[in-house]
Amino acid sequence: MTINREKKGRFKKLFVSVFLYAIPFVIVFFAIFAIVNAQEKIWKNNLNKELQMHIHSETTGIENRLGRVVQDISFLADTIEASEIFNNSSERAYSNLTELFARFGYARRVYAQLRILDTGGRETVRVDFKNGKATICPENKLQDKSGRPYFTDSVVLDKGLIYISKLNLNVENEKIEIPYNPMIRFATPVFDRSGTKKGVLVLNYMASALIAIVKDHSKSSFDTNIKSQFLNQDGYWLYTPEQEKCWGFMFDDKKNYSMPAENPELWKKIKNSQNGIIANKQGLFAYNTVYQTETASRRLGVENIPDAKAEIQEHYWKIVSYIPNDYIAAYEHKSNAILFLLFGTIGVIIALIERKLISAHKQLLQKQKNLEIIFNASPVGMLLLNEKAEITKINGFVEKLVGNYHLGDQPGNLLGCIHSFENPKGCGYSSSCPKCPIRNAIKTVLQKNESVRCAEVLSTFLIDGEKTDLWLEVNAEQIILDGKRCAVVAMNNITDRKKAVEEMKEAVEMKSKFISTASHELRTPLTSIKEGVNLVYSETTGPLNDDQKEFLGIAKRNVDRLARLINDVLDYQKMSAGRMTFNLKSASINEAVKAVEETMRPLTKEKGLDFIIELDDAVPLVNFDKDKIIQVLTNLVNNAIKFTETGSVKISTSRTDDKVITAVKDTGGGIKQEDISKLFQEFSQLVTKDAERKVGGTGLGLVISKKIVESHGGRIWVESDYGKGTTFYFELPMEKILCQIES
Amino acid sequence: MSDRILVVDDEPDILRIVSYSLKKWGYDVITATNGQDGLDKIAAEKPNLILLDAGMPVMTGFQMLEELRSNRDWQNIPVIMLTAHSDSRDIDIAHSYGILEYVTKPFDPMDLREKIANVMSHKVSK
Repeated sequence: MTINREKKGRFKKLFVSVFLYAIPFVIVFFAIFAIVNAQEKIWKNNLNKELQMHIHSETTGIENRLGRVVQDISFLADTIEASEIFNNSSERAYSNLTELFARFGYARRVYAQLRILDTGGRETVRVDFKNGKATICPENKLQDKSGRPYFTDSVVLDKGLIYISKLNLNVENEKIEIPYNPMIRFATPVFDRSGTKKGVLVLNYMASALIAIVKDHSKSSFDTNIKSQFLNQDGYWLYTPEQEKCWGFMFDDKKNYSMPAENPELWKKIKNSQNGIIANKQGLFAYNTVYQTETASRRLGVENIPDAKAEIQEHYWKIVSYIPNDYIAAYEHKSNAILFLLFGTIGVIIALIERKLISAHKQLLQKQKNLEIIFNASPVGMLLLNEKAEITKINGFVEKLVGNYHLGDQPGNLLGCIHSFENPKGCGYSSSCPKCPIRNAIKTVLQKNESVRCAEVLSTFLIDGEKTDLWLEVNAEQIILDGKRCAVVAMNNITDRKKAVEEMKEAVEMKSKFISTASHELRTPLTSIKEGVNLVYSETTGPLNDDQKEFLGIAKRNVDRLARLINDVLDYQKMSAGRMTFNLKSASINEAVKAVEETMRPLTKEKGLDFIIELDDAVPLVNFDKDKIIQVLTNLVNNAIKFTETGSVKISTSRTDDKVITAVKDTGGGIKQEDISKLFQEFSQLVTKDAERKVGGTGLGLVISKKIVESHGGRIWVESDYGKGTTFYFELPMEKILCQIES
Repeated sequence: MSDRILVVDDEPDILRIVSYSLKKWGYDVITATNGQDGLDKIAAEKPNLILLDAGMPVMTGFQMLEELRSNRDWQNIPVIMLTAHSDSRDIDIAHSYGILEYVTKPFDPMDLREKIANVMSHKVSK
């Protein structure tokens, strides 16, 4: 890596680690924040809805009950006006009405009194209800109520209009009735048939039923955290969960117990609009208004009721349901705690993951550094090429290889190859460039993702200003760098090796030629000498005396030896050059043994050795070159005779499942264990104790034998008991396996 | 009439020794010193067998074989190569001409005698 890149790398590393740490944290934080926020919004939304439903249900409940009272007062007024009581006042009519009042009130159970007052304000009929009992008030106990607002305000009304009093606690004999008995008085004028106003009908409605609606809602709310309040138009509580704060306006010492006194801002908002939702420090408030005049001021079934707004004082109540802030805050705390926990947990997980990531990153950097070191320290030239086949990096060995080449010397120029100078356009444009094996290797690697192995390339480079031919061995491999297919090329200078191989080939060829020529030239005169001597020695030309015979014998033996020598050398040479042919024929190995027996028997006789032949008649036919195998056998028997002074030489044949084995056993001096491995080596002749200097030969006999046997797909080996004798074995396979001997 | 053998060899010593032995073994012998001479002798003497050397001046043994095999009258005359060339390539070429035996110099006279007798008996059966 260049210095520049290293700096960049360090900066990158820092940046990457900070980035890696920060970004996921931020993302996760915002994600959780958003989720929790949305959750809270939904929750708050649900709270609002619930509150509104609450309010709605309370409002309709109250309105229904008031409506019921209006129905009742309308019914009773209709009944009175239809009765005889005003028109034809009689005892019967009076008792009929009181009875109706008693039955009606008894059935309804919400009224404390049902009364009729005459236009002077005096009670004419009165039925009281207490503890489920109706009591008709006797005439002498009827009272004058002319000063009461429910009379003065109702008696002036036109037909069909209903007066509804404020909701307050019932007062008996100047004292507030205990237990509190909240009361609303409904009153409407009643008329005789001629349309003359005769008095007012008054219903004392026990409003505890109304308050109970708010109270029960406050209690029965499935979410008990919703509380309800019921207020009059002055902001005094008719009901609130804090009992002692109720009915403040009824008591001199409780006048401060009102919403305007306690929470003027909230009250202002509630008072000034019919309904709505307010969120403040105390909690979430929903409110609605119940108007008495709008909902319950007109008798049913009466036609042409005049507009009464001017005459009737407008009353209204406020219903307020709310959720205390403690509860909301608790929920928010809970969700904040969850948020914190979640964030903490995820943060820890991210930190752990990132620690791993960063350590992996460090390891990666270390690996990269190691690769860098390997790249630079390699004793082969290495190039790194980008996807456009431009060299991006070289190691030090490349410079050594091709002279003074520096990266970037000639961009795009392949190591300053001489061919790139032949064309002004540079590398890749000279006539020989399309055949450039290095370029082809790179192309193969980059385009086909195949490896190139051991491509041998002859290139010309300008080294020290001189054109120099270099043989390069090129390996190329695709690698992925930054996601791009790149190539790495390794090359070795094999010029010396190439030259050496060339020279060696030439030398081998020359040696081969020389030996073949020399031996051919040797053979021709040798043939004449040998056959000339033979003719005379065999006395074909006439009888010889003993001396002549003896010395000609010496000549013959040595000529034979010379002929054998030359043949061995030639055979060896032929086999080394892979030029020995085998004339394979299916035959019995026993025939070869018999042929050898015939030629060798005179020699054993001469030396006074027993010559034993033990043939297995059942040996199968095998494919072999008879002449060559005879040569092997002759060689083995010759050796046996040479190294054996007394005893015997034995040839035997036998078979295994798939092989035919031939053994040549002697009773000679044997071979030392450590010498056995040398037996089949070229030109190695063992010096034995008693055969010293007597043995002649090239030392090639066993080597040639081994090659012949192995060319038949067979095997040759030796077993020896030092001092007792040696046995050579060779086996031939029954199936024909023939290999040419490789040079 | 005894079988007639043509010996072709450029070495007069070899010719002399081989002829002597063949005559001793009871064959009629004619000699030639190169391939061309050999072809002339075949035309004149009609031998039953040819013992042929490979490397000779004027015309080599292989060239002479070529001529021999392309001549309808002579293509069935049996030939035994008797040569110092023992290269597998030479042997392969010789076999491609339908050579019956290939004997390398220096030769074993007994072996040669046997091979000649063999070929002669084959010839009779042909």
